Amino acid sequence: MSNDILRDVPIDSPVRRLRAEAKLLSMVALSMALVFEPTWIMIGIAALLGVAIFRLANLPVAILPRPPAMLMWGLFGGMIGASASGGDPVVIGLGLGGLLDYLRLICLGIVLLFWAGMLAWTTGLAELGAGLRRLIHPLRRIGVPTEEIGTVLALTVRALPLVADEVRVVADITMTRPTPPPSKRGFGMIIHGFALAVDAAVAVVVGTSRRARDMAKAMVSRGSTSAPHPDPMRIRFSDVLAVVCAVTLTVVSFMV
Amino acid sequence: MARTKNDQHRRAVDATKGPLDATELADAAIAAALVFAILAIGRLLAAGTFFQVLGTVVFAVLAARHRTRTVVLAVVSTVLFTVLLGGTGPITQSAVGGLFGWAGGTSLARGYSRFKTIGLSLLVGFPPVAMASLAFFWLADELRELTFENVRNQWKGIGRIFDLVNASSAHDSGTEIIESIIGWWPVALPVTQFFISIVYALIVRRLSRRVLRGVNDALGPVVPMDLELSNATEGPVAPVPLAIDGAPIRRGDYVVNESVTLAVGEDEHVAISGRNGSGKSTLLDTLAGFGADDDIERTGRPGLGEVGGLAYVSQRPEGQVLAPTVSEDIRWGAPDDVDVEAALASVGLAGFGDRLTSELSGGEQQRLALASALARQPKLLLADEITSMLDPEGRAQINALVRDINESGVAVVRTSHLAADLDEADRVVTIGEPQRPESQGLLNTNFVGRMLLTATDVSFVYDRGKPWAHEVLSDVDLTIRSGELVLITGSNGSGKSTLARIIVGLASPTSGTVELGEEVHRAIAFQHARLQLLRPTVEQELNSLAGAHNQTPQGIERGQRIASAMRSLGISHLGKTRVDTLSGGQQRRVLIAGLLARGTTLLVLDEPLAGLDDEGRVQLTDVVDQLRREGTAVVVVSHDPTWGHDRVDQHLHLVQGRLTDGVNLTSTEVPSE
Repeated sequence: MSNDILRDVPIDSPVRRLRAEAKLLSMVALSMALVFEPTWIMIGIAALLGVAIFRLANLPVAILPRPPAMLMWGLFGGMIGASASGGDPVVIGLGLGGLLDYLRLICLGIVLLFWAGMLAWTTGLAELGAGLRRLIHPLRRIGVPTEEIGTVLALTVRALPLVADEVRVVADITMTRPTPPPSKRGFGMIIHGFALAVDAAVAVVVGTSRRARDMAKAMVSRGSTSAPHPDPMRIRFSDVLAVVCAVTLTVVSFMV
Repeated sequence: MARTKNDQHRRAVDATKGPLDATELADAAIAAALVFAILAIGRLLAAGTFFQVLGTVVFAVLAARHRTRTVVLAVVSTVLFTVLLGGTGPITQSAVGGLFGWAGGTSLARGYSRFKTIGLSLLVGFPPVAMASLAFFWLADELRELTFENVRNQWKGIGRIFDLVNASSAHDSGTEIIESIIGWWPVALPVTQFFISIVYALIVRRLSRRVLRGVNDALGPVVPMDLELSNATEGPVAPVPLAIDGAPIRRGDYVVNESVTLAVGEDEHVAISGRNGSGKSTLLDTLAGFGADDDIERTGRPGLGEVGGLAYVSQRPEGQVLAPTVSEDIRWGAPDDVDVEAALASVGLAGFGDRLTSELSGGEQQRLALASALARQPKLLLADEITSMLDPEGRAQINALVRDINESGVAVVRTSHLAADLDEADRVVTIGEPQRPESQGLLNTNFVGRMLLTATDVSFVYDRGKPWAHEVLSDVDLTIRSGELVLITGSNGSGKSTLARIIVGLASPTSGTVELGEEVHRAIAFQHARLQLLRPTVEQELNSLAGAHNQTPQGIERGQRIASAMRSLGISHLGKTRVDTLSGGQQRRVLIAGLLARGTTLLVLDEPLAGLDDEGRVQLTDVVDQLRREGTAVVVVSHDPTWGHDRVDQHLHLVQGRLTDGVNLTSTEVPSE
């Protein structure tokens, strides 16, 4: 399930060839700029930049996820309330202030998600794990157990497809459990749903714990509980350029 | 008594110092991946809060079973990965989930009361949450004002719509309240969070307690430490020659086999056979050095995973892969100067270095595990049922590889119940009682009756419209009648699992139609029966599976159905038995009994024979005949085209989503006695 949402799209492009940590740092810098300066100008710049990079990465439009209908209705409802409040600016007798404030908040959320998606679509999870490990590596000087964290990060990357498998099977099993008799409607249904959720959670935790056991045994069998180091960092001009651009944009947005 | 024992255990867990061991690392990583997946789904469904609670429960269960360091590492890993989900929301959710999960889980493990749990949760969770959000709101002043402005606007908008502005005192006082909350946000925010924290701690406690009980029921309350290596023998590494002379084989305190005699010399290839439960796997674990190995005579240390020592390969292909890419996996724990390409070439995986391990087939993953073993130039290879999850082609490749390894001077000890595997060995040692595969036999084998399901031109495309869309089924036609035995075979990725999900109604075809007869109840028994069995005892499980909740007339009738299903499957004597103590074959029968008692008329069995010995296979075949006699249609999905039942009515073989030479036996061959 999760790996369908954050599916890595293996299309070669300049964006894909960037180092994972360069993309990660650029995204974090840009997100900070957006969160601390959520002006229309910043949102506009981030959106335009995002679309440009989307094109540069040769990503097909089809990968954009469709939001669930529930969310759309919620957003629509909020829009009615916000529009009705009026406020400046007034265009042809209609106060658009409330609506614009509302749209600004929504656009901010969409742009943040879009950037995160871009990172996921152009970076394999394996690469991202290696990037995170390289990023935390210098922290060993201040006593952070980076080896141990690195091993957990590497194992987490490995665990994700296993966990997704398990979640899928348990979801299937939960779907095929019998529905309660008609006498159990209303409040009884909620109790039944709660029991079903607990059952499903137990099944997922138990199933994944067995996977963990296999993993632990494999580690002992290899005689090592520490993941091999990822390839050392080879810093390229394009990586530096991406980070510098993102950081500059962020700093400029704070100063203006 | 049990409580004090658990307390002692808990104190021992808390007192452990130093880096995480293999079990803790794996549990931390699995929990991190699980919470990440949960939050990702929450993000997609825009229901973050509900999924945050589930993630917190996962951390709580981890905290109840492990020491704090394990939880901290799991949370750190989750937080780092949730950057991928965008914005600050998921990062906050995983961090908050970690704090409250730790507090809730620790409280459960220590048996804290409700008040003490709230106290601990507030102590650990509230200060960081309050301070972080105050700092964030103070720094991100623009976003704060924008948010407040939107709250004001919504309230004003609602008032305008109902024409209440300046007309209703209720609306005016509402405006006042909102304004004062906004004006006093540095106070209002932490006060709100304080009360939410209390409610949150209570919800987490309630949910985690239920989940933890279920998990402890299934896995045992104490995390087993049986992965520690014994150090009975000292000195230089020398795994062979070895000998066991009439010694018992134990798993923990439990004696699996009273007396085992075995001798393995250098360069030898020994196969161990025996029925399920005879202790084959436990014997290999003991040889590998897991647990006590006092009874094994060796000239030196076994040296598991060391250069020139012993290497161990196990049954589940995907369970042994540790790293995301093939080359990293080879390098895990291998000597620094390991030649990755040479190791891969030696198992026929040349050029696979950059491939993702999760995209390899089962056979390729097993070969990778062998490559990893060979990279250590072992003297002894232990192989536990390494072909049982593979299709015939993968099995043949692995057997050829094991033969080469043995011929290059490595001693091999392997377990198997397949004749083809046993034939490879220089000699076969049978442990435990011999098998007695005897079929009950059926005189009349033609049970085929009314139509239950007709599928016409069924195709299925995964993720239609996405760049990774692929067609897994094309134009499949299929009719299933009552009492029929349908065999669906195909290799991994042939579409047989998707067809099974469509037959049982878990998936809808993207094109084509599925038509159902009257009164058709469909169910599926998945390969890993344990996932489908959630209650501690067989009786409770059957009640749950059959949907019996109470003693209403329906409930009583269901009780009779359960009793009759138990008789049909020969498990009447197991009612009070704990599900954990059952063998894989018995668990599968419990599951089938439960599905039958539910009134299932079309039953899909996913790989029902995987891991069963000859006796178990014969028993299951008898069960299938019994089901068909009662009018249930049985669909068996397997990667093994040599499925041992000689009374298959329809055999459908799938190759890349298409039916090939599907043989319809009903029309041509009705066995007669």
